[in-house]
Amino acid sequence: MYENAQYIKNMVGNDAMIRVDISGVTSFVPLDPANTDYAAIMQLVAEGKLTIAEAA
Amino acid sequence: MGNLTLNGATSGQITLAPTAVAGTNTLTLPAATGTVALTSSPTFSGTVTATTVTSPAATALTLQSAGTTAITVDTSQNATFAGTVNMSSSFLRNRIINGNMQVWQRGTSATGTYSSPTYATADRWVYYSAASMTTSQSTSVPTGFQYSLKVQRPAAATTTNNIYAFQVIESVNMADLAGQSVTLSFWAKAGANFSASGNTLYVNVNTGTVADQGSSTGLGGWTGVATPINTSATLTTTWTKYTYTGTIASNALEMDAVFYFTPTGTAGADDAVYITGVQLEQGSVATPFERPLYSKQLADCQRYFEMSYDQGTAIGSATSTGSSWAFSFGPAGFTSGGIQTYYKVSKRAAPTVTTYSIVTGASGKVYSSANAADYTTTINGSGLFGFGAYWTQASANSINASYHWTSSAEL
Repeated sequence: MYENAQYIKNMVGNDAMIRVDISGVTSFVPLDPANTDYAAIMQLVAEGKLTIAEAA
Repeated sequence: MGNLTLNGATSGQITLAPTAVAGTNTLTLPAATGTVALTSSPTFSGTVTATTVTSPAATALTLQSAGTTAITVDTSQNATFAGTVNMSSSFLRNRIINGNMQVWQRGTSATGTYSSPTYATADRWVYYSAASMTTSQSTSVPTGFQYSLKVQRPAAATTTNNIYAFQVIESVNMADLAGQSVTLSFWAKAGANFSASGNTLYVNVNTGTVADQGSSTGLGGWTGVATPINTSATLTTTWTKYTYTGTIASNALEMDAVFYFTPTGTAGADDAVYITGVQLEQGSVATPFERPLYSKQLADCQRYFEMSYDQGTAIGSATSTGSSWAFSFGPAGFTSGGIQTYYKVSKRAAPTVTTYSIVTGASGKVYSSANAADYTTTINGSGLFGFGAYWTQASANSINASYHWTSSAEL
């Protein structure tokens, strides 16, 4: 469900979002534990099932 | 003096018995002939125990306190209260949002294999099945409703995985129910080809002890999970209202209401359940469905999901109507642009944001009319009240770009 994850920096250079394809739809997920997409992504990362690329 | 007994002509009798304590009691019969009833106004101080209080024909029933009428029930059974009605629960009783299936921002029909819980059609309702399932808006309804949610196994399917539709209630909307009795009520019927053994629709209310763990870890995965309502309904093809009561754990901080069935054999055209009028409320009584205005209910749904497309327009459609737009014109070349978007309703949490080209419908894109091309958007920040997006484009003498967007803060 979550693929091609990459951190995105905001205008002041801090990691602020994760750009990720969710069921094929390119979306931006905030780094907020209350966001259920973020929670699910971090669970996949902890399980070794997803890697988040560093910001370009 | 002892009791005074009046014997009737056959076996009936009336006994007047004085109290055993000091004092005087006076029974005054009305000055009337014929049938004796309390048609005048005898003064009585004490407790009346009765199973039914009836007013005479064509006469309103009134109850007084301190010599003043407090409640009047007219001859059409309409009750008027002179003072404030103080209930044990509030008038805003229903903890389910979109229980009458009025709001369908994402669309009115979808088919998919939702191996993780997925929001697809009716707002706030989330679906789950390891096999293909279809959810859609139906106009088959019980009296007083406009739409129902149809949840079905696609025709000719042979998979027999459970098919779920459920709603997760935000912690702030249920925490006060901890330690309380709650009642779940809903209307449901079986489709003409409903295949579940015994026409069984399983009905659960689950709770957990950590706030807002969400749908992805629901269905038994919550911390401290309990199931205060764990039952099933035997459906028929006739709309029927079902009611179940349970007690919520005193440490509950999250809750959902779950419906599911297990199909069997090969699906017919209507291997489905239809559901509407879902209400979850405090107490042990199912009160009539609490009907919100559409605008109020839409706003309640937009706390969790909002979009720039008009209601009824499919996400990803090629349309500019309602899109976010940036425009600037000048002699020099423009190579980048940005748009700030504000929500109509603040979100439950910082939402996941998706932009869509207004021409191709591609996600993660903005369409530049100046360049007649899509460009990749970057979201600068996602907050409860809005987000900012920017992009880099080929040099042009204007910024003239638009995108549609969706923002999801669902549980």
